[in-house]
Amino acid sequence: LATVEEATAALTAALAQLGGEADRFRELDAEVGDGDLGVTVGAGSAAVVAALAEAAPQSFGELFAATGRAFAEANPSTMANLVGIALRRVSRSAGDASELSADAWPELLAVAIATIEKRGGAKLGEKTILDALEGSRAALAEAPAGADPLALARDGAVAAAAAIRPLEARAGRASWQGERTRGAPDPGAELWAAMTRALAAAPA
Amino acid sequence: MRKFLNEPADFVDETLAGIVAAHSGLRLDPEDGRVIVREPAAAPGRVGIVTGGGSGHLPVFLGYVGEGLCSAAAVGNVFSSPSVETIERATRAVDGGAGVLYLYGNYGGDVMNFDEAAELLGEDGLETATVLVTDDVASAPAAEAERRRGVAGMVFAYKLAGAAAAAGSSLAEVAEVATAAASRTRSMGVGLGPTILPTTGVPTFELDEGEMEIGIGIHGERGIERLPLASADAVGRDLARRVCAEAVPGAPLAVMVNSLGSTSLEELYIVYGSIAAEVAALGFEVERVYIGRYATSMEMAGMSLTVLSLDQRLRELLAAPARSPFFCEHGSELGHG
Repeated sequence: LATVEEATAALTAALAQLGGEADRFRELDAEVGDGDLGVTVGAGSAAVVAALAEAAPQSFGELFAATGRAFAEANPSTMANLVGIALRRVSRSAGDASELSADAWPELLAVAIATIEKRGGAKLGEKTILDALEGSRAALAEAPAGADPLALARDGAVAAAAAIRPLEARAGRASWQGERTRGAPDPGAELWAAMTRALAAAPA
Repeated sequence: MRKFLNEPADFVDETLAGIVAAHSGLRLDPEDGRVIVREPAAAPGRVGIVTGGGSGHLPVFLGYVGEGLCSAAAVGNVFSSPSVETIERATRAVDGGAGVLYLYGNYGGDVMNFDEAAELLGEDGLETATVLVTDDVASAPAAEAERRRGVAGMVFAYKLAGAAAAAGSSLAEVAEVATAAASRTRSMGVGLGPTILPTTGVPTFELDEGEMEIGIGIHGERGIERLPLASADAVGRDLARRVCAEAVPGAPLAVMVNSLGSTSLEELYIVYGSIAAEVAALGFEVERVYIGRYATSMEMAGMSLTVLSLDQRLRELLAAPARSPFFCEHGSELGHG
């Protein structure tokens, strides 16, 4: 995903895939939350695909801004809003660059993590999407030379999402369920795991 | 769903297009079609006021963009927050170098996005201050008043802060007026029927025939209790007692009786008769009265009561001239407005 054109194509393909998994997220979220993650994923993914087709971003800043805005405006859930805010902040960090080197990605993930922590009021280890994002960030930051970054991001996210399943949710709507969340997948963390899976599988 | 629509997905953008076609004092920002600004947007040295939130509440929010009121509104989709970018753009459009006040109702997504926009713009040297309106007494107990949502009381905050900005006050002064307005405003609503969301065709809540929801929110949020529909007199007196319980003792009141959408002016006036009697019985003097559609939930049925406890300064700011396509104050003599 070195150029903005490659990244736009990969994101479009990945979100088309993710949108097809909306029902799974509705079910996951219905277990521990209110189930609206299904609409967030379905409507949000479709909105981003449409926005990117129309916008044809010329820089990574434009790509992240258009993605975040379309995803957030598609529905009123807190998750959608946090994704929108995080991507607005990431877009500012990426700026006018039309190419990104591999070492930019863990830094951009760190920006997203810090923004969601600040605005969403959750911390790492509280069983949220943050843990999966951190899994990807850490895997990319420690990347061995020559490794496929998308595969690393995916493996880091999937492992982190699995590692937090035994925990009790301490933040977000799932935390209202307390003990009952032990053993249940966190819908937000699973969302990022699915996103990285779809990105890694997207045609290069 | 019986609504006048073209494409449901275009509900917000077509609403905005109609508004700027009808009213030359308002225009869309050329860079962001979800920013509505008054004409002219910015005045050098004058504090700007940006409000915003989800669509579906007209005249809130953009109806209070005008002279002596707000400078711009950031418009979200129906019942959804405006994006961070839209808020940033609205802020830049109205900045006259004296800073910008963010004045809006307390809803999670809006707070997140306005706060993020404020931080991003602050990094570029644009100064903002934020005052949240938290007038809905049904949405949290008095001990947790900062958690309460903002409803029709936003209109009083716009009017008072807008008058202060028009008078050339500094950002700190305008924010202080807005804080005073918000802290002295209390509201509560009663719902009789839902609105239907134009994009999905789904009603916002369900209520059986012969029931009413006391303390309903402006998106149809559950209130305090669901009771058999009572007489207008009982409803008016009950609302007056609940809302006046937190009014400033001895202060003259500005009173707003607001239709949540489809409830008729006739009904509002019927209820007002009982409100006026109850407010007087509680020992308050009513100085100004506002009756009509000020903050709605599209065609939701029901009404809300808002009281603002006045003092000399707020009384003068409330009477100062203001004008938007949806709200007009001629600078009239004090008295029943």
